[in-house]
Amino acid sequence: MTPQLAIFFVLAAIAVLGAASLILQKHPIHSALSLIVVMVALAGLYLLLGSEFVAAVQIIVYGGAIMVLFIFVIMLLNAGVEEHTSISKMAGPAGLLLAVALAGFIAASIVRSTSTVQSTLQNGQIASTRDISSMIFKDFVYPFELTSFLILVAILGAIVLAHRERN
Amino acid sequence: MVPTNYYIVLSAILFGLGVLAFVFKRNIITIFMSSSC
Repeated sequence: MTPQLAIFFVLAAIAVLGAASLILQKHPIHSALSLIVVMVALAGLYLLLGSEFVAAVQIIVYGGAIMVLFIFVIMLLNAGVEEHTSISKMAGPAGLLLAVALAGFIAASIVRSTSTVQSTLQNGQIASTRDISSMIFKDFVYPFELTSFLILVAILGAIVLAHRERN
Repeated sequence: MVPTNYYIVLSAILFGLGVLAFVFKRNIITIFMSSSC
């Protein structure tokens, strides 16, 4: 076993355990902390792939900004431990059937896409930070600016929703 | 060098866990967090 493979298995185990902890924790704050563990492990996997820029973005944006936002919302809403109610008798079998169908669809997609991914990796090179920035600001400048406009609309919507009428 | 299949399997496991959380969790904030997972 090579050192890279060992690091991959360690990071993958941390990511899977963190994701499982996210599901099993009952308090949202604990789930958020578990998600931070997943994000950091994913950043390590990106580093292992040689994508330093994506790893840095993963830490700064997801591990930093997004998680602070989640924790801020949890504390603002004072969200407590989630309540469990009895599951509907109709929802159980239908949900199980849909879950099996979704798992089968995903498995079939993975089997079909494996050869395509491998051929792409063999032909293409890993994009550097310069290549990514060139793609964002040259080839995909309109979708990039459209995303910033979408975020602006979301900010304005949040202000309108949070605005209280003054007497 | 880590084989590409290993990354694909890990991605599938994480995606499956995210779907599980999306389906089974009751708290809307946790559901949003699971969609980020």
